[in-house]
Amino acid sequence: MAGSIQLSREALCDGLDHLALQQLRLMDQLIRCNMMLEEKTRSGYFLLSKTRYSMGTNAVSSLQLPSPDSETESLANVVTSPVFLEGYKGDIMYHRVDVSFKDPVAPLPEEEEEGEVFETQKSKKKGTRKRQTADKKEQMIDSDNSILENDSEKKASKKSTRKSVNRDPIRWFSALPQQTLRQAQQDFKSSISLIAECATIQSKLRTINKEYSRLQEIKYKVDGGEKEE
Amino acid sequence: MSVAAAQGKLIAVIGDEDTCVGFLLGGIGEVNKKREPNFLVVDKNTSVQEIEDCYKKFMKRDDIDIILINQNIAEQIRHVIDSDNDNPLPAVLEIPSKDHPYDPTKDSVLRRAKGLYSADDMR
Repeated sequence: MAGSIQLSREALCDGLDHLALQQLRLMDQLIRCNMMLEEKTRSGYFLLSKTRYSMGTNAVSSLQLPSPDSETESLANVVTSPVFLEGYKGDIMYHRVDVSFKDPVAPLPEEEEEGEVFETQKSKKKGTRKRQTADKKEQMIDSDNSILENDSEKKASKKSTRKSVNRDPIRWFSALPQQTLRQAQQDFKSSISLIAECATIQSKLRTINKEYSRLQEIKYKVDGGEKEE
Repeated sequence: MSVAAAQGKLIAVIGDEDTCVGFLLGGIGEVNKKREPNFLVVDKNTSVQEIEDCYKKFMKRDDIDIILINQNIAEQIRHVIDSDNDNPLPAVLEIPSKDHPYDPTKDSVLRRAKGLYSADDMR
């Protein structure tokens, strides 16, 4: 009995040591990631200040941010996926965080535009059919066929000249954004990627902290049992 | 919300003007159909209660996976941030601001990790 307790205590201590080393490595990684984030954001803030110097203080401020009345869609999306910690037989899990950026240029919905055109054509035909005589019905059929051909040609041309909307947030601040503003945007986009990395490291660290606490409690119980004996 | 659910989750931000402007310029800003923004600009007139309410709202939303908060603002609602230990998501990241550089001794996660070690454990 004493031998088995000794063995389990040794195994616990080995596990705790292994987790402690992982914790220290992850803490170091998290601090480095945060320092890199600070550097990128500092560069971004400096470029924003330079832009304000040339465009004016109020040109790049919270006044340009979307109000609750305007519906805006985010261009940066976060996807989390569960990952099992190596060497723990699939028991312990943390979340890996990835960020993806959408294309700011989005096409306008085509169906609404075509539907309106077709409906106006239909209403025109109804209005004219009431006044049409039997002789003109043949002409109407021919014109319908030609309209259908024109519609298919229009669809082909519409595909190439479809209207699009630019949802780039840089447009909130200026129609012709300056180079410093574009560079600031690039800096903040890189910061967002670093944030995903920090979130992944943090999630892993939290998981290891929990596991460390759990093993510590078991060790206290085992130590308490030994003392009673 | 339906767009976010189908294509990914959001990053929320609670910070000073420069932080919010910068990250929204990066493309994380959204105002959904319920007129709920995913950001809060904190200035000298913003009360601690407002920050706390906004933080709790972001924590309850299921379309937000990361909450960015300036470290100096996080200090004001430290008691709320430290009490939310159970759920891994949304992840709360304390980021430095223009006027306050990053201090690892104030970070919640790092403090919790450091606090696991005591002199008795090393025996």
